Amino acid sequence: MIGLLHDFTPVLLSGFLVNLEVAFGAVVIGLAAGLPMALLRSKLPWSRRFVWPCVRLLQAAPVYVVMFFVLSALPRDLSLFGWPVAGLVAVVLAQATYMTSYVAENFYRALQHLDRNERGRALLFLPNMLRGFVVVVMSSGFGAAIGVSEAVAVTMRQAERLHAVGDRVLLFVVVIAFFVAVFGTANALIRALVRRLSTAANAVSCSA
Amino acid sequence: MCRYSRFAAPSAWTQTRRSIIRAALRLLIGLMFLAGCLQARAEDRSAAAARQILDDARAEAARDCSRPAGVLVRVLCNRQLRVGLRTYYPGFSVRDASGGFAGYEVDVARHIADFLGVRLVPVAVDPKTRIPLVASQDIDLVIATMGHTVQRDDQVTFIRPHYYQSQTVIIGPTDRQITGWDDLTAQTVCLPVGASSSCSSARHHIRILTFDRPEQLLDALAFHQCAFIVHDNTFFAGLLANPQWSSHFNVKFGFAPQPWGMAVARRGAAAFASLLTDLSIAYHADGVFLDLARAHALDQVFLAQEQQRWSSPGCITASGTADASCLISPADDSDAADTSRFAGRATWLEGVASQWFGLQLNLSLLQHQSTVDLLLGGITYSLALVSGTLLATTGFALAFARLMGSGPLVVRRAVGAVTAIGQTSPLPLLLFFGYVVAGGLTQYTGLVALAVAILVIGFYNGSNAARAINEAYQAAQQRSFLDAVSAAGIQLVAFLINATKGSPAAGMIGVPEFLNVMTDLTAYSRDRAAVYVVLLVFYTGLVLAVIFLLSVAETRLAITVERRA
Repeated sequence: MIGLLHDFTPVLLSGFLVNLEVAFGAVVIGLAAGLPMALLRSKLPWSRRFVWPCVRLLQAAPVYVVMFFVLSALPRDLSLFGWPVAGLVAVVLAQATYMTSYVAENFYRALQHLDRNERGRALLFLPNMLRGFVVVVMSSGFGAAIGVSEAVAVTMRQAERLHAVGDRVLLFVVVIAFFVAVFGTANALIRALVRRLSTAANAVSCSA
Repeated sequence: MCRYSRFAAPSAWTQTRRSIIRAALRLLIGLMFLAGCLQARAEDRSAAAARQILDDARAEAARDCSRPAGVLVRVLCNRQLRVGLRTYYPGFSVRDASGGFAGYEVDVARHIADFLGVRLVPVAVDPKTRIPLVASQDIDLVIATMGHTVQRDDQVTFIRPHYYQSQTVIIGPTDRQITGWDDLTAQTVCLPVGASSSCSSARHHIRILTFDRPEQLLDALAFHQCAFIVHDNTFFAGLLANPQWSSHFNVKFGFAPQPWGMAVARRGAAAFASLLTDLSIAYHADGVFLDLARAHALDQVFLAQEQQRWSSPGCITASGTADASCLISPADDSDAADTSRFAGRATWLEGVASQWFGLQLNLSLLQHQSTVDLLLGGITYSLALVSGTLLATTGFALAFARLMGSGPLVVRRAVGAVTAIGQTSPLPLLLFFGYVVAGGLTQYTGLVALAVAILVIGFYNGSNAARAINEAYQAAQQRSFLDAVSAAGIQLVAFLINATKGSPAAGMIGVPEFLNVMTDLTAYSRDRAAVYVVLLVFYTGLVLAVIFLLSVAETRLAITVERRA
C-alpha cells in the first residue's frame, strides 16, 4: 500500500492541479460577469428588475446539471493545442455560473459598504473571494462524472485497480486526509484574514 | 467363359458409363467455374459500385472543397476519416495506454479508411456519446458495438449488411439460481448507460443501476455492488473462457439478439451510406470480416453465415446492391402492449408543436408505459432524495451543533474533528467513499444508493451548518440553543439550499434519480441539449421551491423565537 501511495501521490497532485485550474477559470469568468452585474444593480436602480432575478436563477441552478447541459451544447471535439477540452470547459462554465452569482452578490454588498464609507467591511470582499475559490475547487470534483481527470476522478480510477475493499477504503481515507490538510489550512488562513480585516474595520469605525 | 477382367476391352455399356461420368464431371467443373465467376462478379459488382461512388465523390472534392457536399466529400477533402470507437471492449476495440486502438472494429475502420485513401482518426466514444456524436457529424462514422434497433433507426442511418451480431445476457454469481425474468422481479441489475435493455428490464419490473463504462460493471459485480449485470455476450466471451472467473460467475439467460451496425448521420451521408453498404457486401463475400474476426479470436458463426449469404448470387441485384430480402431486420425493443395512457396526447402535442410553431418536438418517452414508469420512478427518487437530504442536513446540523456546544470535552473534540472532515472534503469524494463502504457492507441497490447519498450530502452540508450554529451559540454566550439556531438561520438555510442543489450529484453513485434516468433513456438521442434544458428547468424549479419553503420556515422560526423572548 505504501508503494502504491508513493506512485499515486504525483497522480493525485496533477489531478488536484486540474481542480485549481477549474477554480481559477471559474473565478476569472465569475469576476468578469459578476462585477458588471453588481455595478449595474448598485448604480442603476431600474436594472435591479432583471439583474436580481438573473442572480437568483444563477444561484438556484444546480452546478452538476448545468455541467451536463453545457457539455451537451459544446462541440465534442473542442480542443486546445490538440488537447480535448470539452469536459474541462463544461466544468469551468458550470462552476462559473455559481461564481458569477457569488461575485455579483458579494460585490454588491461591498459597494453598499463603500457607499456607507465602511471601507474595512467592503474589503471583506477579498476573503469572500478566497472562500468562493475554495468552494469551487471542492465542487470541481463533479467533473469526474464527465471524464475530467481531476483529483476525485484519478482517485476513483486508482481505486478500481485495487482488489480489496480495505485497500480502497484506505486509499479514500488518505485522499480525504489530503483534502482536510489543504482546505483546513486554507480555511484557517481565510478566517485569520477576515479577523484582521474586521478588527481594522472596527478600529476605523470606533475612531470615526 | 467370359469373365470380367480389368484388362479386358471395355464393353459398350462401360464406355457409355464413362462418357456420362466425364460429361457430368465437365458439367460440375463448369458449374463450379460459373458459380465462382458469379461469386467473383457479385463481389466485383459490390466493390465496383463502391468504387464508382468513391470516384464521383473524388470528382466532387476536386471541384470544390470549400463547402463539401456531404460527409463522404468532406472526408475526402479533409483526408481523414473520424471513426467513433469504444475504448474498452476486449476483442472489438481497446485503447492502450499510449492512446492506440486495437481490435476487430478498429481493423474494419482501417480497411474502410484504406479503401477511401484517407487517414483513420479514432475518436473515443461510449454508449452515451456514440449516437449524438455521429448524428451531429462530430465524427463521420461510428463502429462501436452498437446494436441495430428500430428505435435507433430514427437517430442515425445504420449500414446493412451488419458486421457482427450479439445477444444480451444476464450474468450473476454461480450460486444464484435464475432461469428467467420472473426470478429477477424487484431485484436490482446493473447495466451500461444507454443500453437498449433498460426498457426490457423496466417492463419486467426490475430495478436498474447504470454505469458509464461496461468495465465498471465487472468491478461492481466483483465488489458486490451489483448482484447481476447485463450486457452483450460478446463483452463477456473472454471472461467466461477464464476458468477462475467463470467459477464465480455465469450466464443466467440471454435475450434480444441484435445485429451490430456501423452508422452514419441521417443527413448529408446518403452517398457515404451507399458506399459502406456496397463495401460491407464485398467484405462479407470475400471473407474480410471473417478473417478479421478470426484474427481477434472472436466467435465466427454469424460471419460465416453472412459470408455464405453474400457469396451467393441471389442476394445481389444486377446493379450490385443488396436484395432487401437478404438483409437482417433491426431488432425491435418495443412491445405492442407497452403503450402509455399519455401516448395519444403526446402524439397530439407533437403535431400541434409542428403545425403551429414549426417545432420538431420528440415526446417518444411518453409513448411507452415502461419509459413513463422509469421517468416517474426517477422523479420519485429525486423528490425522496431532496426531502431526505433536507432532513439529514438539518439532523446532522442540529446534532453536531448541540454536541459541539454542550457535550463533554472528548465528544466536543471528536465532533469538531468530524465536522472538519465534512467541511473540507469534496462532496463527490465523500459520495464515492460512501459507495465503496456501502458496497463492502451490503448488497448495493438503488435504495442503498439513495440512503448513502442522503447520509453523505446531509453530513457534508450539516457539518458546515453545525459550525455556523455553534459559532452563533458561542457568540450569544450560550443563551439558548434555539436562539443560536435562529441566529444562524441564514447559514442553515444556505446549506439546506446547497443540499438541494447537490442532490443530482447522487447520480454519480448510481441513484436512479431523474437526471440519471433521463441521461439513460436519451443516451441515443440527437436532441441532448433539449433534454438537458428540461432537466435544468426541473432542478432549478425544485431548488426555487425549496428556497420558498425554507424562507417561510425561517420566518416562522424567527417569529417563534421573538415570541419566546
